[in-house]
Amino acid sequence: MTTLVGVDAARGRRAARAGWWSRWAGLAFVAPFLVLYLWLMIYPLVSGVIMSFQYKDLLSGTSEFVGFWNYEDLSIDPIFIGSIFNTLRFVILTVPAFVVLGLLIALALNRPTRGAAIMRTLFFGPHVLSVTVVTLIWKTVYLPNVGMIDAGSTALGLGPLSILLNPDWALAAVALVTVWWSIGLPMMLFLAALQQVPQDIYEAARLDSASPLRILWTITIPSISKMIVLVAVIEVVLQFQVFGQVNLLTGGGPNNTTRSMVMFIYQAGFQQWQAGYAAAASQILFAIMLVAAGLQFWVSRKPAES
Amino acid sequence: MRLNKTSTALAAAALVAALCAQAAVAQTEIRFARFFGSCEADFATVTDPSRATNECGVITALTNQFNQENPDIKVVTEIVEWQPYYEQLAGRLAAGDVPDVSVMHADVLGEFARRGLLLPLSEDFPEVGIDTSDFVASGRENVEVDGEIYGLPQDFISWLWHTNKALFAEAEMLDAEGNPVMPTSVEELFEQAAAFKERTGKPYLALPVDAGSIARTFYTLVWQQGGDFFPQDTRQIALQTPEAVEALTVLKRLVDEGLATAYTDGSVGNSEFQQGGTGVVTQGTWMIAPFVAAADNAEMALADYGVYPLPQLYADNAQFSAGHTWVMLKSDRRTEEQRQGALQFMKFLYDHNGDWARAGHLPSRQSVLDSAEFQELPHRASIMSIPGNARHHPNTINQQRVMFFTIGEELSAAVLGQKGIEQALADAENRVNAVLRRAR
Amino acid sequence: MAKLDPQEPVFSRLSYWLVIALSLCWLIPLFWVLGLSFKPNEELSYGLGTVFRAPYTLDNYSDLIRSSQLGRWILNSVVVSIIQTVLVLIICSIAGYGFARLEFPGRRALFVFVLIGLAIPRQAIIIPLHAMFVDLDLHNTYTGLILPHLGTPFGVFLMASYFRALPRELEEAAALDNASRWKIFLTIALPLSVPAQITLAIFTFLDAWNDYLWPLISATRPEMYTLTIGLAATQTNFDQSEGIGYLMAQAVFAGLPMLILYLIFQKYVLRAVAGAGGR
Repeated sequence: MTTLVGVDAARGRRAARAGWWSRWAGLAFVAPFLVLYLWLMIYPLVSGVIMSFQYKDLLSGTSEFVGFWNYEDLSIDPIFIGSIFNTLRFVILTVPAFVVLGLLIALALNRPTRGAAIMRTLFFGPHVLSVTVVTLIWKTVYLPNVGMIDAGSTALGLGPLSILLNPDWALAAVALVTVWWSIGLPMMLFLAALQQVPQDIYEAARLDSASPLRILWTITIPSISKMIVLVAVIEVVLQFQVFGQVNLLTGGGPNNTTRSMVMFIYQAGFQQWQAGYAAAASQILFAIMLVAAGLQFWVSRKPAES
Repeated sequence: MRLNKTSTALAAAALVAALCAQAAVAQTEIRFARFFGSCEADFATVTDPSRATNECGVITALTNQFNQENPDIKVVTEIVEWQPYYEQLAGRLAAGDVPDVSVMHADVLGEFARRGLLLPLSEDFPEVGIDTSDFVASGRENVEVDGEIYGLPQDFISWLWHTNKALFAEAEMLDAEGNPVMPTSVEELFEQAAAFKERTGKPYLALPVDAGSIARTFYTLVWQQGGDFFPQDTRQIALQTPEAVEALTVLKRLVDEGLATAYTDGSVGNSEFQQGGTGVVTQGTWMIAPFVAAADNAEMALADYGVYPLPQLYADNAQFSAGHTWVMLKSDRRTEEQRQGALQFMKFLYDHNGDWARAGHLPSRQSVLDSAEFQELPHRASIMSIPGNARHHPNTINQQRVMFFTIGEELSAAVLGQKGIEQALADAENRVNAVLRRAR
Repeated sequence: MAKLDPQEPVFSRLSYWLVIALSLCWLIPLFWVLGLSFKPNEELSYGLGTVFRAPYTLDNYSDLIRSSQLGRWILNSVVVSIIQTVLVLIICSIAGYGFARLEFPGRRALFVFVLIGLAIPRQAIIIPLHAMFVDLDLHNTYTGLILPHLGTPFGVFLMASYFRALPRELEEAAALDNASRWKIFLTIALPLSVPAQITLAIFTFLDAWNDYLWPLISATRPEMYTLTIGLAATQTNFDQSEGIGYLMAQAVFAGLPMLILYLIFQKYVLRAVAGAGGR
């Protein structure tokens, strides 16, 4: 009797242990990532918030609580406010271009020909280059007086355009480089979505002899609307963080028209050694991005739901 | 499968470990951080500095020579670009991983020293045979903070009036000694520039307006009028002054009237000058050697080159000056051998101050400045007046680099017509003061 | 894929030709740079228009190979990108499987918590991250360059949605054979997830290869520069550079390996990128 009870108990314990294990095994799978995530994303996020309320010197590392001082200073810093507007302008210049142009290219190249395949490869190609190679290339295109564009415009009798020096055009020029560099991603995402649209809908539409524009508007775009939103959100998140192209092509000029928020953060931190100030600017960037991405998601969601 | 994955992970981990371990440093290796570019292609094995005439060549050859003469010390050069040099240095200081000998502009040395980041060298220099009394006065001003010496002044740089005398001859604007006629007032400047343009069909001046360059021209013009940037205290710059408005107006008028061409990329202006496209270019002392070389090159249109201080347009013959210095950043990781090695390297650079001067700079040692060898170098005689007229911000002003580029950005916007003169100066003043106010 | 229609409407054909014209705009800068890289620097100082006429030279490339630290920087980039890719694949596959297939207390909440991380911009935490790595003494090391990317949730999200879409039957059969969760993951789920692995690998590799801001502030010793940073350092001032031809040779030298790799593996790359969208 006792032995039986003992065996039962042992079996029960084993079962319980197995149950315990199967209950928690999953956690063991996700634990390594969670640790890294907490350590390298959440902890810096929180310490960044704390730092934004400190006067922190980058070089000495000394810090002192200053309340909202950094934020107050940011709110009257014309360069910071300018950088917010520059960044917004950049997002407005690039994101629609990525969505519209990406979709147009995808539509045109959504065919099984060799030519289309070659062009898909070509459009995606610059995406594998690093930002510094891209800016090296485009610097010689934009170089005032002697660059490709100015040489061309001079030959046409227009005189040098010096695009990167023109406060009205410099940011657009950087946006153009960005589109050239990374149109491949939206194009491929749209192609993937287009190929999942069932062909029979098109057949039916063609039988109704609907115009291609109508087909595009009533069938294609609604069928891939989810992807359009996804591409827009991805690009908003990416382009809000623009830094490399600006830093290397214009350095924030001319007349501060291209200084982006991330560039401001970098300069505050590493030129002026004001880590607390830079951390406060980072929080504003984070907040604006959250709002922008959320807003966009919400706006594009609405019609689909109704 | 399991084995495969595990071994991949292990291999990756091992690789990480191996690569980290590699950071260990060999004995008496001196890390030497500098800008001045990389010219390994031409000077990788050259140990004779007299074969070089530009900054990069001279310093590379000097480093090679030192390594050859001192087999127990190995100076490893870390070439950082000029523009992001201090951002990179800030990163390294924050990380506590600093070079042993670093180049540092004179205008920031004061702040680094006051922050306790630099090793005081007053006692070490005499020990290794560096005579601090031989430093020229303004070089010494640059490296001395509160009575303590924090660096080895390497040179004395200034902002000059580089001229194409052949074009001035064409414009019949050479004086009896064959030097270009220099304006002595703003009116004369405009008269001469207009006359030059009329007779040669070319703009008088190539004016680099990138942030760094234009600030130098501007500082000179303000100082020549006796203007004071810091009338109240060291934490408040005054840029909305009559002197500043006057200086910026002159520059803008020159460009607006077509007498000067503004170049946002200095190298384009330089190449225009070398091709005979303009009478004058304002550039630093470091361009003397390249321009001399260009004048010797038959393919270049620049044939008869002459260089002078900026013309004295106002009461005071002030000239912008700055300098490079060698410093030792404080570090817990530096061994005594490395410290000694670094000092020896500095002594070597001190001994070879004359070689460096061949790149176009004025030497930081009085004995070299006075030497016949230096004075016989091309064009040095015409700029010998500069040390006596040199002006710079006192080293008690913080954040001089940020200030310099911020002012330059705003001035550049004004000269290019992107914002009004008053607006640009007000913006520059506000931006600089915001930075100075935040700095502690 | 849509069939090529012999009766293709004018509209469609027009758009096709428009895109062909556009693709020229994508090509021209590449050829322009290639051309410049074969020009002697002295001649380019007369104007870049000289690119259209002889002489051409290989000097820029030989100077590059003889002197520059480009090789070292490429090595750094390769090491960092490959190790990072391998580690991200391992960590994210395991975690993704855990979230997709295993039940454990708090799984849902944890997954949402991880998803929130997708909204944290990396650039916005760079200042505190820099301070943190100062304390850990990790700057100017490969570890310091690799680590910050390992906490990014994108890969977990991608792998989890892939595992979730796999049919459960195969795993259930193995579970009946008393195989452990780990064994099921390794022998059944993992091999099936290769397409997603390739997608994640390509994204991670490109991301690591092209990273700019973090290496800019973390790798401040020239010998620890990645290619991106090394090249950036040489172009801040065209003034002081060794000539435009030389810079362009650098650009070609640095860009070409990636372009060649891309051309070889383009099928996988494009499929992988498209695959990420399918999720």
